[in-house]
Amino acid sequence: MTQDTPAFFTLDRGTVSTTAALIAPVAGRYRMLAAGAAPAAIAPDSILEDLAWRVARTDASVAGSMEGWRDWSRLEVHTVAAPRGVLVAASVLTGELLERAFSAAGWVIAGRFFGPSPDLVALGEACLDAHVDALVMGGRDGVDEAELEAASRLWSRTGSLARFRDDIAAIACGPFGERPAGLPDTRLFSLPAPDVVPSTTESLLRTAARQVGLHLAGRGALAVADGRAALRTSVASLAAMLGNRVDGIEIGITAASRTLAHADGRSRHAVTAAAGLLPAELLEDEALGDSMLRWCTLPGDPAARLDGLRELALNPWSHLDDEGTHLRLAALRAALERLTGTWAEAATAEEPDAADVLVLSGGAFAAVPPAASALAVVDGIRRSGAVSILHDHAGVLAPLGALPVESDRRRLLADLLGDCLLPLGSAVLTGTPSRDGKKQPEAGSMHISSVLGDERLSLEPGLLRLVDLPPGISAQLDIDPGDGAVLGVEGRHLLLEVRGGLGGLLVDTRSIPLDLPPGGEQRRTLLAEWEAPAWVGSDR
Amino acid sequence: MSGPDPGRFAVPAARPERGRLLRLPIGLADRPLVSPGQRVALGQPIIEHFRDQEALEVPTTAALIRLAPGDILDNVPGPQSGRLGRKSAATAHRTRVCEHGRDGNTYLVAGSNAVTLNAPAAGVVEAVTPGRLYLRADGLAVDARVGWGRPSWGRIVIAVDRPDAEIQTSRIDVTAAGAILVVGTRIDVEAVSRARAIGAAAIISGGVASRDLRQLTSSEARQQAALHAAAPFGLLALGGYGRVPIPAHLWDLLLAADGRNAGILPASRTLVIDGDPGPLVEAASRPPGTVRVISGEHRDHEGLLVGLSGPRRWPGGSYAPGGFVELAGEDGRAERHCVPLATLERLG
Repeated sequence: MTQDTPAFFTLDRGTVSTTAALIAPVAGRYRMLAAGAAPAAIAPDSILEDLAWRVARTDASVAGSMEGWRDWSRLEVHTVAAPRGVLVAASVLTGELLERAFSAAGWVIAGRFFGPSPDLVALGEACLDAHVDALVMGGRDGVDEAELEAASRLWSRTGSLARFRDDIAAIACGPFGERPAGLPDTRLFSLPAPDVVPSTTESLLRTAARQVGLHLAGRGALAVADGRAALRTSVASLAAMLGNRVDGIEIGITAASRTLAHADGRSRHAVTAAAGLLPAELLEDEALGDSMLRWCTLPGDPAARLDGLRELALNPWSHLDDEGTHLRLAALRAALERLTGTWAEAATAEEPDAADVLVLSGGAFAAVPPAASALAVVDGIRRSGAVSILHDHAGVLAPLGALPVESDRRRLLADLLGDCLLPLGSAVLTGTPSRDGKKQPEAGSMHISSVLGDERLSLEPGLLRLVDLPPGISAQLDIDPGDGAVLGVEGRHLLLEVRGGLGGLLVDTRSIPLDLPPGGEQRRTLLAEWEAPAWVGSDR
Repeated sequence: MSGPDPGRFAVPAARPERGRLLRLPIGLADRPLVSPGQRVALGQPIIEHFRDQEALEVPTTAALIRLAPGDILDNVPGPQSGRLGRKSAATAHRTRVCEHGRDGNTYLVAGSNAVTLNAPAAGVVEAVTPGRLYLRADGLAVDARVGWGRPSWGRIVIAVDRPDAEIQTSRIDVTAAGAILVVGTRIDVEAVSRARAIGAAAIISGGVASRDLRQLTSSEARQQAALHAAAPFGLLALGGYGRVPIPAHLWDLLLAADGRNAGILPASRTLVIDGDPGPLVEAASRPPGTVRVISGEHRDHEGLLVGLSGPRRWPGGSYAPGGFVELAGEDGRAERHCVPLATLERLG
């Protein structure tokens, strides 16, 4: 977008939804005039026409005549369904490194055959699964002779089995010089060998795996930018612009991504298919359904709830009623739990996960009330500290990430920050360190003062409280740690400033990680008690 | 500038399709019994499927090396499995080639306990690859939401009088033998077991419960372990999971198809109805602007989408665009309701 661009659309086309926004200059800066989302099966032009029509009906003078909307520029990104691969390696270590790279590149791992002599029939049947896009063979230099020999043998076998299908790719990751006979070039890919790097750190293989995955899952038809890569770029730009650590969390229906960006340009990033809100595996995998329902506060027959979740997986846009919203919230918490689990494996003491700002993206957050979104995040991302939570409600960040010029992106971000990032509120997580039988110290307290008035809260452990703090209002927090420590501070008061949002201020003194009964009525009751404030104002 | 056409904001329903390309999987040891270009009739054997498979290896020879992965190799001597010093009778295996290994051996997969897979639709074989058979179906293909079981075929029998009725187990009798039973809202495991025991080919319902699917899968696993293969049997749910009526337009289509032959492919959730598709398409068709509500208070009601309401807050607390729909009330008169656009599917 250049200075003289009059008005333009952003389009984020996902596997389930299309999100669009209309942006135009108003009084010397760009503003978001309208935004909308619809199921992916709706033609994008219909959504754009609706946006233009809504603005024209409200105030046509704002963006000039809307008649020419079809000719306006479109900043568009796509997200495709997660590619599915069967991984083969001659040793467990090589296999795990291969899996780390492909999982963090957003692949669904449909099968693992790690070892020198995998079962031929099982490997063959995995290859014949119509949902599998590729057989992926991993190998490394510098391993012992036996592994090198076995890897070469297995690559030959992988190539032969790929010939049973006319639509499966064979991917060699590592030093495989031999070309399998009978496979066309369009189905053969040669990628770098797996590296010993954490799953949130970029590697040559991970980058290549993502590109091949996009090619295979998108059936090679994509000519526009990848939505998740573009979102990562925008989150990094936002961190640099704000001078803060920004944690961008995106939960889509079939996959999720996370970017932790620092103001100095460093960032960590991973795409995780396992953390999708309603992965396709839910239709077959009862254990996955059970792991979601552990977060559900609806009473009644769990089997009927599983039916409800599967209905949502078939029709993610349906069931906008109370029950559907609760099931979505349960699925969202479970998705965040899976995302955090993947991320935690790669966390290091040198680079902790702490962030000042959380930016939420993806359809999963749009389908639950703002306070419930904020609650899901503090349930799923358990780390002590204070954080502002913002929601990319119009799906604008990813399209802006597709802009090739960083300065253009930052200028637009600066203009659009207030319009596009909806403040959900702030959260303060004090955590409750385990005392291992020692006497509990006297609980601290928090004094909250804002233009709305003053309030004093006891920081008694194990509680989650929602304080009304609307958007646009800031509050000063004066924290007295009492006999213990709060946010790493003891023996003195701690002063913080937090900003309000649609969800208000969440003060969370529950344990980190959450100490919850594994299941049953006791767990449901506890979760329901915690989330009750999030439903205030809804028709529950 | 006039407002956009409301119908463009309702997702089009899946349409019954003529001439669909069906993809039938071929296992590692399985053998296709038809060839490309061949016309097949409904129920004609098309794949010899082996319930049990095992890997074998033989020394690669000049004759063997000419065989490609997926090619058939018969009369392969099996490993001698004598015990206590006795020699067992050598068995000849029926195999397909998987790989010519770098170690000088050719790796094969042998099949045993053969069963025949019959064509779930009449049509023309377009291609046969080692792992898949492509069949262009003559009939009308209808998409279901959930599928379970194996491909099968039979004549369509409407076993209930309404799309939201629930069949009683006692109503399933010997007339169900060889039939594809259309059973309304849902069917429990007991009724499925009875239908299967009587010899029904398949069940078509509105919904199916996850719990029932789990029990059916367990039961199937037990049958797989049995010496003799059970007759092919499958289930399709046209509406989804749980207690869901058969969508009205598909119910009308099935009524028009009563007595016709059909086949089901549970893996791809497809029903293919034999014969002239014209009357079936006509029965399922709806006037322009007709939509069906797929969830919520007015679920499975059909009506006309007459306008857009813009974004609204819905009972669960979420915001989404709404539309005004005229649905028939209990007295038959049109009643206007505002529903989320995303819960509508366009039929007309």
